[in-house]
Amino acid sequence: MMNNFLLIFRQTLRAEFADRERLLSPLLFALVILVMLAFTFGEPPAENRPAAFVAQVFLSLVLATQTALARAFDPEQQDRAFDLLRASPVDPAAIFMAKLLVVLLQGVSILVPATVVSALFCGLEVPGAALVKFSGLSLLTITGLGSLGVTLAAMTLKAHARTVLFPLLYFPLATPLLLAGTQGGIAIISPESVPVAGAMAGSWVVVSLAANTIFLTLGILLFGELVKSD
Amino acid sequence: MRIRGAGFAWPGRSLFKGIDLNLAAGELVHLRGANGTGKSTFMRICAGLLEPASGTIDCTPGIFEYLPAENNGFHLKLGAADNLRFWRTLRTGKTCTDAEILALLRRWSLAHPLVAGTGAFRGVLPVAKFSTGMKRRLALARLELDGARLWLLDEPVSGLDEEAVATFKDALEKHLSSGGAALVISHDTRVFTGLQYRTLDLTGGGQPARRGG
Repeated sequence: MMNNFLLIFRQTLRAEFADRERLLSPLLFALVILVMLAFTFGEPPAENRPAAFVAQVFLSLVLATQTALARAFDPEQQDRAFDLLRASPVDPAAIFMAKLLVVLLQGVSILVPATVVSALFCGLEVPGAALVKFSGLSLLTITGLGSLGVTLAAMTLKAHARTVLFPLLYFPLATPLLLAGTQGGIAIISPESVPVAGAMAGSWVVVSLAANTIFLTLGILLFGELVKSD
Repeated sequence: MRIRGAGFAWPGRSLFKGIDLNLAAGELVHLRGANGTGKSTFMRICAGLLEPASGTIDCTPGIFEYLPAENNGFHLKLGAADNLRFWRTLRTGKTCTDAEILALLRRWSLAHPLVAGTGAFRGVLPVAKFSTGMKRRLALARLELDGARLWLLDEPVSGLDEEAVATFKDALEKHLSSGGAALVISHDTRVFTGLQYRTLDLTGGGQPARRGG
């Protein structure tokens, strides 16, 4: 399984890099959202900066990754390469994990510039330790969103109204992850504004971990069923 | 591959039922029938992509390679070599050299520098830019490279010129003589000229396989 996972991961990554529009459009979308917010609201008041920073990072992240996730299987669908994958002796979990890893890399490629740009636009200086913790929580959120998104993308592959169905399923189910990300993020970035900030951040990390475990387990277990014969 | 009593129906319309077929080593079966009789559906069932409404399909996983009628199963943004190498390694666990790929592409008249280029030219022309016939030739070249025991081919020579049809016939003969088997849908009967084969006719819901060739 490991060999197939690495092989499919490398091929998927190559296909993503070969299609610059697919690679760049989520990142550009995230940056456009941040610029629009900056132009609309300007620099927030000092007491609101941590919350505005966290909100901007997660808003751009969730919207941009949604566009990438909704068309996660497009490169394989174009010439029915996915049918050949399904007809091959490949463990479906290997396909799922390879797709997930590609989505995670895309998520990180959005998260890093989004964090930097948000901090600049909000006029916020985030201490190093807090930035490391915030990045960890953000990565956890991306992993959860990725697991959920890849599963839903597989689930909606055969649906006629895929573009409508995907966000309808994705956003409600992503809510626990986003709540944990934003609330935990504020507790990390601005501990003075949250009572017992350390404990609160810890609790939200646990919520995020739980959602991650559920979505990842469901993804690995269900993926084979979702893509098996019609 | 052994098929027993296979049947399929779309809502309100039965396509075929009670199809039996044994496909042994070295055998070629021509799956035929009028348009809309369910040939491609039957092929998808054989490839495990569609559940039959009735009957059973026994086929060892991984021994077959399926080629659909109107698509070739490539990552369209990648070049010929990247696609061939990926499918070969996925199916067999073995890698292949640039020289092997180049020889194969030459055999299928695809050795144009932009298609078969290596080094700096590698992948210059993505498969998406290939003509219909070039994509099909590349898909048939992949069949040879992967070395699957059973070929499930839906209109394999569609869009091919005379030279490519001859190359395909040569590849098919080699495949059969080395103990491979093939189930082929083709309205172009040049494919079967001079070969021993059986026919499975789906017209009227399925006819027993009879000998041809």
